[in-house]
Amino acid sequence: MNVLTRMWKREWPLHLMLVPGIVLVLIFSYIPMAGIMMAFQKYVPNKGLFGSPFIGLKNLQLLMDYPDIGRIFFNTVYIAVMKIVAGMIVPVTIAILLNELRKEWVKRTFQTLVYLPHFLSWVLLSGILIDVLSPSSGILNQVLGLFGIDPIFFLGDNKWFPYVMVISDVWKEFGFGTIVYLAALTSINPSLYEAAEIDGAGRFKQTLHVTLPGMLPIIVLMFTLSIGNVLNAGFDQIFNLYSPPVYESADIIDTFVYRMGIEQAQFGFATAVGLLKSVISFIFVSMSYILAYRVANYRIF
Amino acid sequence: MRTNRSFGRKLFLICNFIFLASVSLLCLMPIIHILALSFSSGQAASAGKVILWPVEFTTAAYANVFGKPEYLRAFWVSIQRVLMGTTISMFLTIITAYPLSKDSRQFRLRTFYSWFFVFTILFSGGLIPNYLTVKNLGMLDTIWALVLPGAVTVFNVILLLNFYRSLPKELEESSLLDGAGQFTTLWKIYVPLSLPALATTGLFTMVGHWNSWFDGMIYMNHPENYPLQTFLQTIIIKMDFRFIKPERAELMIKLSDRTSRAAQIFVAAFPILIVYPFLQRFFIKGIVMGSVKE
Amino acid sequence: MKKKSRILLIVALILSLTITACGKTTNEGEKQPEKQPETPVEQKNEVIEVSTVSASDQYLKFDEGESFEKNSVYDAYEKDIGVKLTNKWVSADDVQFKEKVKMSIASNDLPDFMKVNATQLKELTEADMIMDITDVYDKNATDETKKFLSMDGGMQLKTATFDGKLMGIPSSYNPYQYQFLYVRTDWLKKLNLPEPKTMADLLTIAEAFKTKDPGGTGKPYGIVISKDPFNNQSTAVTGLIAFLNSYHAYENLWMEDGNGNLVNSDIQPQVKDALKALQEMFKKGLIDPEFVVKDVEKAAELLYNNNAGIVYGQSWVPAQLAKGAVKDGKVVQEWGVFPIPSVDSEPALSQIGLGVDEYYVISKQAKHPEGVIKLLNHWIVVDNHPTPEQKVYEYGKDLKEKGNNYWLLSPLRVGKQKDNNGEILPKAIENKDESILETKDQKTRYERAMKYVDGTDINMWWEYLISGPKGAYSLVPEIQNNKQYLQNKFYGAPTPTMADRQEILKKKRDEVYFKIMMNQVSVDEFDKFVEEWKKLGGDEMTKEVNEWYATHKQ
Repeated sequence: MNVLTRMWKREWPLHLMLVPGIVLVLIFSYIPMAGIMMAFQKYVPNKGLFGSPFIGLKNLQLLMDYPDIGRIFFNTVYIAVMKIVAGMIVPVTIAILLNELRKEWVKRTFQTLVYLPHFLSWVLLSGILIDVLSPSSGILNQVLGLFGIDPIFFLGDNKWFPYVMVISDVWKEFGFGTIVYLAALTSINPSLYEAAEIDGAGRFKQTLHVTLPGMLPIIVLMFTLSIGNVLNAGFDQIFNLYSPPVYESADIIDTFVYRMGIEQAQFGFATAVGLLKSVISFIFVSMSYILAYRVANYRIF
Repeated sequence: MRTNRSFGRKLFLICNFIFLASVSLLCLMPIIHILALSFSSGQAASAGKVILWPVEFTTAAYANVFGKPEYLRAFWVSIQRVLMGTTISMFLTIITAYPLSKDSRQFRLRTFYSWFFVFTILFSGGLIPNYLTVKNLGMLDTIWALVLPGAVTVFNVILLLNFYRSLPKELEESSLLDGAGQFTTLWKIYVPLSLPALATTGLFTMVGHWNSWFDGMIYMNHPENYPLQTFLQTIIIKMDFRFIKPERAELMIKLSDRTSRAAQIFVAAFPILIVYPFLQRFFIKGIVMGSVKE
Repeated sequence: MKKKSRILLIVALILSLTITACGKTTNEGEKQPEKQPETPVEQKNEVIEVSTVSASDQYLKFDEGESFEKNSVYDAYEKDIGVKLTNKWVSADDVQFKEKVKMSIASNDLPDFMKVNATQLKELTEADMIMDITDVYDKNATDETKKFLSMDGGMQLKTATFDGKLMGIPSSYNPYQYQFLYVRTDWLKKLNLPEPKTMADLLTIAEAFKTKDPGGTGKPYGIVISKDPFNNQSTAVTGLIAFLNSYHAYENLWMEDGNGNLVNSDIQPQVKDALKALQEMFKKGLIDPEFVVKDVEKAAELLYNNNAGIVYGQSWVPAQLAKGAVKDGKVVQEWGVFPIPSVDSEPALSQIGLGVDEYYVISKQAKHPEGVIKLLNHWIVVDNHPTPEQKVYEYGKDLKEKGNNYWLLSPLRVGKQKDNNGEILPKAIENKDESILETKDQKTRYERAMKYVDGTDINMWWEYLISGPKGAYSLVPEIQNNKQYLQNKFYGAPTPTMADRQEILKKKRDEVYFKIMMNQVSVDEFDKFVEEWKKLGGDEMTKEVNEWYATHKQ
């Protein structure tokens, strides 16, 4: 048997395993992707995708001509990047700390509790946040008052608003990442810890030299996937909490597209913006993938 | 081991505990607040009097949620969807992740396949083409519209393939040497060893299915087929006075937007909160304990 | 071993593919076959089928065994006028209904008729997806219907007309809904203040409420507003549009400039005066600085908790106030309702809409458009003067009030464009005279108000404040007769620049209004805003509006 036949004999089951996934993805993701054409059309429902007039980049032009385009792009990226970074550091840290707990049931309880905020919608959370951050009656300002700091209207102040968004979002979603990182932690070979201990490493050094490297693949993976969100600053959250006084720092691409959608039913425009976001996501994810491969010979996926 | 703990270590453990306890409490408080809201009267909620304990205790909000016969039907649709959707999804995740976890020498084209899948989470045709596809397949108003389109969760596939990669290559080698095929190797060896990862992805899938309401709204045409969340999205007390009857007006005073939403969130989150602790068990299991001789 | 696993996978594959195919075939079987259309005949004996889409509603309670598929209302339509109704889909509620309508339009899957908004009406007309119903309406609408829909002089029908073609039936309602001023009268008495007749009065009252804190909370304010006070849709209460009106300023209204041209109200100098007044109020602490993050419910807390006693709103506001005014069967807050005061000797004009923002459109593919008009005719009849049997349209087969709101089942509903509640109700309630009540709505309101008057249900306090002798309705006749209202003179579909630029113009406007109000910038920023507004597309928009106006002047 020559090499090729041997390889095929070995590989064909693997190809076969992928068939169901490929079929489903072809049907439900690739075929609809033809809809991206709408970004370049003035879509007319009864003419459909293949009959609607082609208008080239006009939809995108509408976005680019927007007087506040610079501002909304900046806000989007600023908030999104902060969320990505904080959204990684916090869960990793909490996962490591949770792992240090001695009692199992304590660990499990805390792990359950931190995932809870994920289930709350921003509609309800915004009400709570408004109360907590209120300059006149909110807990946070009362605490600040104990230190002699004047009340701050967090949600009405351009200086503070972006940070409130990031912190509250991290609080809501860090439970998710914590679960992933904890699962990664538990799959690190215990004998590595034993070896390190024998070498005289204390717990902290062990964390640095065993835990973190062991989690590194997952960390890099999560980072790569979340970097694709660099233009998704969190519509739901911002929509429920922003107001004209903070438009300057709060207005993002999605809130703009939403307001445009009220004035006119423009399918092409929304698709064009979506396409732009996809392209940029793709670039970032690819860059991250290539970087990981070149530097660490690690294929993220 | 206990006697070897240094003072620094002890201090750290105490501080760590306090810190994590505070963080957990911070996560718990809003939930308690919302629970309290759901059992409070609309008036008290509107007056902003409810903090961590119900004020003017009433079960009116829950009665409103459960009072509709559609509720049970929608609940069942959601259960169906979670069970079918999670099973299909997990199955697909496992058999898709396994080949992709091999490296290029063993499985040429794996990188191509990988990108083939990842591409689909970066680019999308948008709502309308997706709707048209489902429609043209005749799946509207059926459970398949809720279960099939998102069946391949690429994120889960990537998570799982990374876990498979972390298992020693010798596992596969020795299994194949013993005469087992790829399928057997996968199901008999890899799957049992990846329980933490499977539990994680399984949980996310279940939560995703349970919480999702938008696809239910778009793909279903009749109230009997709506999943629970689509149905629950609607319970907002609109102050529409064309039909305020005296009994209704009383209800208005007892209920309010906020208490209804609070009850709604609880009813929606409750099943998951029950299931979650059970899955926890699997996260903690350790794996690969010298099963393969180096 | 190899064989077994191979078989396993093949089975799995076949299973997954079969499942997909299965889903397709079983559904084909379940799809309802298209009924062959009957030849359109005018006779009532022929039953014609008309498809539509409906919204389920939490207030709609089906009788035993009934559903959207089969119910007494649909049966009645079939029996009475020979129109059989079917639903292509039923949404879970009204909000989801609107989303699904969008999907139906985008996927080119329209039922015979359905309810759409003004923008969609234009879109569908341009795309040639709906029928020109000028002739169908003319031939099939009864005289009563035609009169009913033109009570306002034909304005609403005009908004549905493009190039002389009627493209939809306006889902009309009464546009003469005014804003009123609500003030705590018990506090006025406590502080010995007169009722507000002018803007100056109101400002004095607001200040007194703040400085003297009649509510005793330690955190008093003057007037209550919520986070979107200039948005027409959400300012039924806690808004500021009425405040603007007091200064003869209006929100995004196209008005005559005196030379036969239309200008936009947002950039008129009167707005500057109103903003200045608001800024003064803010500086004096009369406005809660946190209003920007508070939605209506949250802002209203200040009213319930006695922190503030002034708010603007529409006629039904008392039902909201009741949450704080009536506790445990006792009235704990006294409220009075007053017409909007003016800043000078000219009476303030209440800004009102056109009374229509939704339309029923008929698909080009509809086989029996006349069936839709028949539904329209019949609805007007059974809603306004039903015979005893026709009460089924309101109550279902038991023909009496059960709280099931069966009228929600009628897919095509239009409301009266004018009502005389203001003339009838206050008098009836004051004199306890039932005989002068005319409409169903008046009878219901009378009943509720009387429950408060004779003490059987103190919770009905709010109806008394709406319909009673000193209620909101009582103020309406004067406003109506003296024409103290102003309607938008532009009622066409958005012009091209409007479609592209309205969003940013509104955004800039809101930003500057809020910044001035909250004393973050000087009131002179307004002038800069006006210049910016013009440059960002405002001038272009004004030009287009006037082009439209030239061909639509009455």
